[in-house]
Amino acid sequence: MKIMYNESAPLSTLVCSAKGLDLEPGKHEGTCAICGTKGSGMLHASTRETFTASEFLHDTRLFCPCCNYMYNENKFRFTGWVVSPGYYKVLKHGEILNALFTTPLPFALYSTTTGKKQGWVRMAHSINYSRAYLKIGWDMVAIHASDATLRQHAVVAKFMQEHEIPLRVVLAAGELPPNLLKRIPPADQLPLLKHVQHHARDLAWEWVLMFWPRELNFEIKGELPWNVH
Amino acid sequence: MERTLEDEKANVVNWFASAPLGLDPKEAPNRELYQLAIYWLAKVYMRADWAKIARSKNVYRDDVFEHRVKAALSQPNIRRINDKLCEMLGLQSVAIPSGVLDELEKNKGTLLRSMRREAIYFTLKATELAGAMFKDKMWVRI
Repeated sequence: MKIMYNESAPLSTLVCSAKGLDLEPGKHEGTCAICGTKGSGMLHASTRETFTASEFLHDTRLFCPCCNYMYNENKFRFTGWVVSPGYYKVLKHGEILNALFTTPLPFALYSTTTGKKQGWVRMAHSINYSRAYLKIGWDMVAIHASDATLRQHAVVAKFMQEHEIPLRVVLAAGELPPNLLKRIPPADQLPLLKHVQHHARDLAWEWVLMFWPRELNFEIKGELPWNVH
Repeated sequence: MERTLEDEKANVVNWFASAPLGLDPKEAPNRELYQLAIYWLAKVYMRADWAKIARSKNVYRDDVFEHRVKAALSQPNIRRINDKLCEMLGLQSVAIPSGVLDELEKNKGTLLRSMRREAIYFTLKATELAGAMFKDKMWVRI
C-alpha cells in the first residue's frame, strides 16, 4: 500500500510518504498505540523489553503500519533528522540549527544527544505548520518556542562564539565565570551576564547552545536584545 | 609631591569614564551608586594579602574574591558586609574614605538587590579598577 500524506496525518505517515515506502497493512482493527489513528489494517505491537517510553503510548496493543516501521528501524533514534513532504534528511550534530532555519513549512525536526532514546514517540502530532509556534523533539524532551525567540538566542550565541567563550561552560554553569566575562567588551558585560542568568535552565536556550555548530553554516542576522547606555 | 585623596578620586572618575558600565535605561540613574560600590570593593581587594590567600596562580584570585563577596552579601547591611568580607580575607579592618559606606547604606535596597544577582560583574569591575590603581599608582594610604 502506497503511503499518502495529508494535513491531518500524523508524523509517521509524513516520514513514510517522504521516503516513498510501500507497507503492507495488518489484519487487526483498533487504535494505534503511538499516533492514535483509528481504523483497520493495524499490526500487533511487539515491543521490546528495553523499551522504556511506554508512558507516552495509548493503552492498546496495536501499531499502524507506519508507526510499526518507524519503531522497528533503529536509525530514527541514532541521529537527528528533518522531514517535510517529499524530503527526508539525516542530520549531523552541527546541521540541526541550519535545518531549523532553512527548511520550508510544514516540517518536523528531531534532535538527539544520547542517540538511544526513541524520543520521536512523543512527536506523533508535532508537525510544524507555523513559525510562530515551533515544536522540536530533543530525546524525550519536547521544546515549545517561537522562531523569533530561537533567532534571538542564536544571535547571542553567535556573539559569545565570536568572543571565544566556550558555550558548554555557559550551558553547565548557568552563568559566566569572571575569566570568560573579561573577553567581552566592557559595555556588553552586564547585559550579557543578565541574559545568561535569566535564561538558565530555559529549554529553548539550552537547545540552541547544545547544538551550536563549531563553524557557522547558516546566516543569522539581528541585533543583540539589549540597549546599552 | 604627595598624592591626596582628591587625586585618587579624580583618577577613579577618569577610569570609569574610559570603561563604561553597560546599564539599561532603567538602571542608568544608579550609575554613580554602582561606581561607588565598585570603588569600595576595589579598596578591599587591594588591601588583602593575595600571596597568602591564592598562592598558585593569578587567575584564581578573581574567583576567590567573587566567592567571598557572594558569601558576605548574605549580611543585612553594608557595614556588616564590610566586616564579614574583611574577616574572610584575613584582615582586621580596611580604611575606606569617610562617607563612602554611609552613602552606600542610604541606597542599600537597590544596591544589594543588584549586587546579590550580579556579584560576578561587580567583583570583575572591582578587580579591574584595583589593577589600574596599582599600575598607575593612583591609590593613597589613609
